[in-house]
Amino acid sequence: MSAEQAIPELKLPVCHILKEGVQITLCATSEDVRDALIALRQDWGHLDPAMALWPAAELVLAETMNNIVEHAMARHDQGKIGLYIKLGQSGLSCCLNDDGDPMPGGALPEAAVTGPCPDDLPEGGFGWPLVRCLTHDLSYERASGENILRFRLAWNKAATTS
Amino acid sequence: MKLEQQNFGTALLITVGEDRIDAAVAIQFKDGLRSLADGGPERVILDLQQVQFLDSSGLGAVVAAMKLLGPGQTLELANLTPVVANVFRLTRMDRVFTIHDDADAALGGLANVG
Repeated sequence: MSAEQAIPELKLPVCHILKEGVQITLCATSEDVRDALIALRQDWGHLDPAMALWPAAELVLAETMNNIVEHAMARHDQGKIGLYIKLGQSGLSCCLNDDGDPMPGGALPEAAVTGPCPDDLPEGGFGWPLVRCLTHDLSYERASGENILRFRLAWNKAATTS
Repeated sequence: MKLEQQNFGTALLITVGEDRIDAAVAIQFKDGLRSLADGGPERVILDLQQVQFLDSSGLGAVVAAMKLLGPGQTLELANLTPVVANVFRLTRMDRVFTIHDDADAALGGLANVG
C-alpha cells in the first residue's frame, strides 16, 4: 500500500461474527444503536442458542447503549461504542466500552422504584431498573479514560422474564 | 412515523405501523400520537400489533402521550406482542394502562365512522 493511498472510511457499525460471540463498533447515536441492534438480530440473534436470550439482550443493549449516547456522549461528537458479546454456558456475557464522560459519582445509578401512581407517572427512568432486572453481574468501571460496563444475561433468568 | 387512525365515534383507534419504538423515534411517536388524539374522542386505543421492540424511551413516549391527552381522554393499549408486553410488566406499567387482547376486544362492537 502506498503512503498516499487513502484509508477507506469504515462504515459503522462494523460487525464481526466470531465463533464464540460477536464484536461490533458503532457510532454513538440513537440511529446507529437501532441499526446495530437490527443487524445483530438478523445476523446473529436468531441463531441457536443465542436466540433464547436475544429478546432480553436486545432490550438491555438498547438501554445501556442509549444511555451512553444520551449521557456519556452528550458533550461529544463522533463518539464510538464498542460492544463485545460472548456466548458461554452461563449465558451471554456483554461488555460495552466508550470514551465518553464518566458516570456521575463514578457508579451506576440506583434502580429507582417505579410504581403505578397515575397522577405522577414518570416518563423516564425505566431504563436502569429494566437492566438490573434482566441482568446478572452488572458492573461499571472507569479505566484509561474509558467507561466499561459488563453484564450477563443468564439462561434461566431470561427464560423466566421474556 | 406510520400511525393510522380510524374513528369509532366514542373511540379513536390508532394503529402503529412501525416495527420498533425506541430512542431514535420516541419523540416523533409521542408528537404523532398527541396530534392524532388532540380534540378526539374520550377513548384513544393504541394498537401495537406490529411493534416487535419497545425500549424504555418508547415506553416513556407512551406514558408522555397519555399525560398529554385532553381532560376526560384515556389512552388504552391493544395487541401487545410478547416482548412489548414484557416491558410493560417489568416496569409495572401494565397496572397503569388498560390493556386489551386485540382491537376488537377494545372496541366492543363499536362501528367505524370513518
